[in-house]
Parts: sequence; structure tokens; C-alpha cells
Amino acid sequence: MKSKQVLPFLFIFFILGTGFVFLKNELFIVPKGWPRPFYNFKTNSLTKEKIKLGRFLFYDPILSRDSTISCASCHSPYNAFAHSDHALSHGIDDKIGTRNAPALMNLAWQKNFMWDGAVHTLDAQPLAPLHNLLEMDEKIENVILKLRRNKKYQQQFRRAFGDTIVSGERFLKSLSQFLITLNSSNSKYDSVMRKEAKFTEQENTGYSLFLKNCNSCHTAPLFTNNSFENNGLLQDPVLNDIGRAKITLQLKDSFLFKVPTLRNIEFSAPYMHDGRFKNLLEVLRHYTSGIHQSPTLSASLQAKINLSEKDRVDLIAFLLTLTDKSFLFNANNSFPKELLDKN
Amino acid sequence: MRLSFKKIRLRYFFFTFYLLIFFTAISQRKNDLVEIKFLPVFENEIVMPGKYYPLSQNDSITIDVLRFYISSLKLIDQNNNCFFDKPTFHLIDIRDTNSFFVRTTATFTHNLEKIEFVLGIDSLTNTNGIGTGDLDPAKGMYWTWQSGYINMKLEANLKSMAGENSSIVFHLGGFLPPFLACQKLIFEFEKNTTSKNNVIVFDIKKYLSAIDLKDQHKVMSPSVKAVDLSKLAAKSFSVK
Repeated sequence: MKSKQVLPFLFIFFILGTGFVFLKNELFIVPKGWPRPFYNFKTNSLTKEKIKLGRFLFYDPILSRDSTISCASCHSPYNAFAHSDHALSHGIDDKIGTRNAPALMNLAWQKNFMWDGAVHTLDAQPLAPLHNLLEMDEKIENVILKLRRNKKYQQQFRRAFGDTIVSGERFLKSLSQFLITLNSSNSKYDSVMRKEAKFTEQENTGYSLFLKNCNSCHTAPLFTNNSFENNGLLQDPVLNDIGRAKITLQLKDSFLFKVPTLRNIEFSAPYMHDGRFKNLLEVLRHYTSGIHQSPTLSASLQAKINLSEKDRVDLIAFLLTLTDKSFLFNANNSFPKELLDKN
Repeated sequence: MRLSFKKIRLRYFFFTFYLLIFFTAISQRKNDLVEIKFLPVFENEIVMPGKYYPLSQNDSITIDVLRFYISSLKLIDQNNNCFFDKPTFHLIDIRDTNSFFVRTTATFTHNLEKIEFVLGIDSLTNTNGIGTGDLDPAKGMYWTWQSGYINMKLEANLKSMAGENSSIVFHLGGFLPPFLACQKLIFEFEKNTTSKNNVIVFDIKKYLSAIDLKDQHKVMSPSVKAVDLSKLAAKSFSVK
């Protein structure tokens, strides 16, 4: 083939390639210095229409048995997609759950989901609250039927997939598409790391304390090491939650819970798997004087953590630099107004 | 370029001829495709949901739900030709008799000599997340409280038992050691047989008779019990 004939093909490949990179960058950005995400984008490549569909589904109570509870009922955008004021979330018929609703962000970098890591793929995660008798008390088969009957969703599925077929796989992967876009990487801490801003003296002291006492589990940039740890909480005698051991059935995993991210911690109270601490001072008090010794206690907590009153205040000042208002108040993540006239 | 009527007619003839050969070949191939029947039976009778079956002299049972996955199907014919149905997963369901027939793309001229398959879903597929078709979570075979596919679902009721104890619920699965529950099965068909039935039966009576149902009537998570019950289920398959 002559070079004149090859050039137009190269040009087309270049245009297509550039377009692809642009689309990829537009919908999902890996911040500089962050690790590769765990989520398998090959099996669920992002599109604007699928993300939009996922957002609708996330906010739509049609997912619950009596159409009263949506994902957002326990994962409010203004609370970093956690549930404020509720140690344990309330679901259908105001039934109280058994664990605190975790904040949702940077989910493509998470290996396991739920406090005990029961779910290892984001695509399957919504099945848990959907079927839980205390949360949505619905069945995916029914949700699919409800969506198939809904004209607005027929249109949404056509726009997203090219036809109106509503399957469990499509439903779950659409939810994943939206969830994957809930990314937080623009806090003051991030600006400081990018050398666009500076910590105050107090924040800087707090950062040093953080690196010394917290960083081994709450490792930057995700502020979690994605592991399971026993952080010395005394077992609640009513909930009797054994954590990770419920899944692995191994004693060594007793009272181990997933290490949560600290990003946007200012907005995701209450804290811990059972929401027992209402504020950050209570959390720090636990780590300095409330650790319950047990055979599975995290190695990082074997030595006592000493923090003066001033240290605690400084450390909290640093933790507040993890607040990302561009994430918390991102209109693209909030309730879609079109949902109000969905039928 | 102008074509004469004769040339056009000739081209039309050849086009039709090739089309005919093509469709004949396809239809011939379709006829030769190997089909395996997976039949859930109670002794010699295909299981009907809700029907009472005598389990012992004093007891009978109704089967409400019986579903299981067949995967990694491998066929070898008497001429040593091999077919591997690697990427497909088949959900056999007593409420869908069409599901009993697993149509492969194998085109054997000789009868089957050997069949291998996995009862359940392998670990790799489980770690890949949710799937489509028979693997769609809407089929009700994906655990909702944790990750992973349920390899076999059996829900039944014993007539002799009262209340909660009367219901048998086996949701057998688990893809991580030490509770890896899927089972590999290998069967050899009778040599020199002319039969092309290719029938594999799962005898629910044989299965349940091997279990102390008073002791084990609810197994719904990956565990030693789930693995043991999966092994027993594998032993209840046979060729017919």
C-alpha cells in the first residue's frame, strides 16, 4: 500500500483514538499519583446515558418493595453519601438496620464492599440492600418487572443500551456507572499535594500527627488501605456483630471491619460500623483511651496512641482538610429533577 | 459495463445454487449438533414442582424449587473428537423444561463416549462479577447478602414434619477455599451404543435419601455442610 493510501487511515485512527481518550478522560479521571482502579471497566465501559440511567435508579424509591426507600435514603449526597443523624440506618417501614451506612466515594478503587467485605464486586453490591428485609425488602426480579412496565425507564434503557430490554445485568451495571462517577479528589489536602495551596500551621501539625498515628490504615490518597482491621471497639451486646468472620467463618477475622476512607469525614458522621461515635472528638478519644484488647486487635493499635488535647484539635483540623465541597455539592451527583415526573 | 441477459441469468443461477448449498450445509449442521439432556428426576419420573413424591414408607416430599448450573461442558466422541463448551453456563430449572436441553455447537458424526461438566460456577467466573444470560442475577441464583453464585438451589417440603422444620432449603455455593462447592463430573457412555439420547439424570430421591433431613434442612451459605451436600449432589448424577 502506498503512503498516500495509508495516510487517510492513520488520520482516521488518530481522530478515533483522540476521541476515545477524550471520552475516557471526560467520564472517569484517575487523579495524578493515584493507583489504578480495581473496577473492571472492560465489562462496563462508561457512557453518559448509562450514568444518567444509574443516577435515576439510585434516587428512585421504585427499587424498594413499597416504593418508599431509594439508595439515596441512606446515602445522601450532602453527607458524603452516608446517613447523617442515624447510627444505624432506617429502611422500609422504619425498620432499623444493623450497621451504619458507609459513605460512598472513589468506589472504583475499592476491592470489597460492605463493612465485612461480603461483596467483592460493585456490580453485585446493590443486591444486598435491595433484598435486605430491613432495608428495601424487594427482589431484583420484581424491580426488573417494575422497570419494564415504566415508560420513562423504557426510554432511558433505549437511550443507554439501544433497545428497551431491561435485564438484571443492565440494571446493576447502570447503577455501577453512576456510583463510579462519585469521585472525590479535590479537597484542600489534594490542593496542598498539588502545590496549589498550603496547610495552616495547625493543619500541618495535624498532618504530622496523622502520618504518625493513622496513616498505616488510612493511607493516602484514598485514606484507606482497603484492609479489614479490628480497631478495638467493644462488641455491642445487642448487635453481636462479629464482622469479617461472618463471611470467612474464621476466628482470626473476628471483629474485623473494613477500614473506611477518611475523605469528607467532616460530613459522614456518625462513625464506626455501628455509628456509635457522633463526632470526631469521640473517635479520637476511643483511639487514645478506649481501645478494647482482644486477640484480633490490629497490629497498628497494639501500642497506645498518646494525643494531648491540643494534638486532638490539630489532628481534627487536618481531617477537615479532607472535605471536598466540589464533590459534596456537585449538581451532577444530586437528585435528578426529571425523576419527579417519571410516570 | 453492460451484461447480456444470458450472462445475468447464468450469474443468477450460480448465486441461487451457492445460496442453496450454504443453507443446506447450515441446516445439515444444525441437525448434527449434539444435544445433551439434563433431566431432574425422582427415581424414573421427571420432577414436577409441587407434586408429592414418596421419599420413604412414612414420608413424602414436594419439590418447589430445583435449579442448578451446568458449566465447562466437555464432550468426546467415539472417534476421539473433542468439544469444549467453555464460556457457556446453563441453568437447569424444573419450572422451565426447555432448560433441560443443552444444545451445543459440537458436530460429531460418532456417538458420545465421554462427557465432563462442572456442577456449579467456577471460582474465576465468580470473581469476574455478575454475568449475562443464565448468569444474570435476576435469575435468582446470585447471593444477595454476599458475592457469588449459588450453584444449586433446592427448596422442598416434607409432609411428615411440621412448621419451619418441614421446609428444606439448600442454597449451595461458595467459590473460595476452603468452601469451594462446585463439582467436576465425568461420565462415560456405553461403548458401541447406537443410542444418541445423551441423557444425564439428577436423581433427587437418591440425593435426599443420602441426607439426614432432620439434621440438615437449612444450608444457605458457603460452609463445610454446603461442600458436603454439593459432593452428595454430584454423586446423584448418572448417565442414562
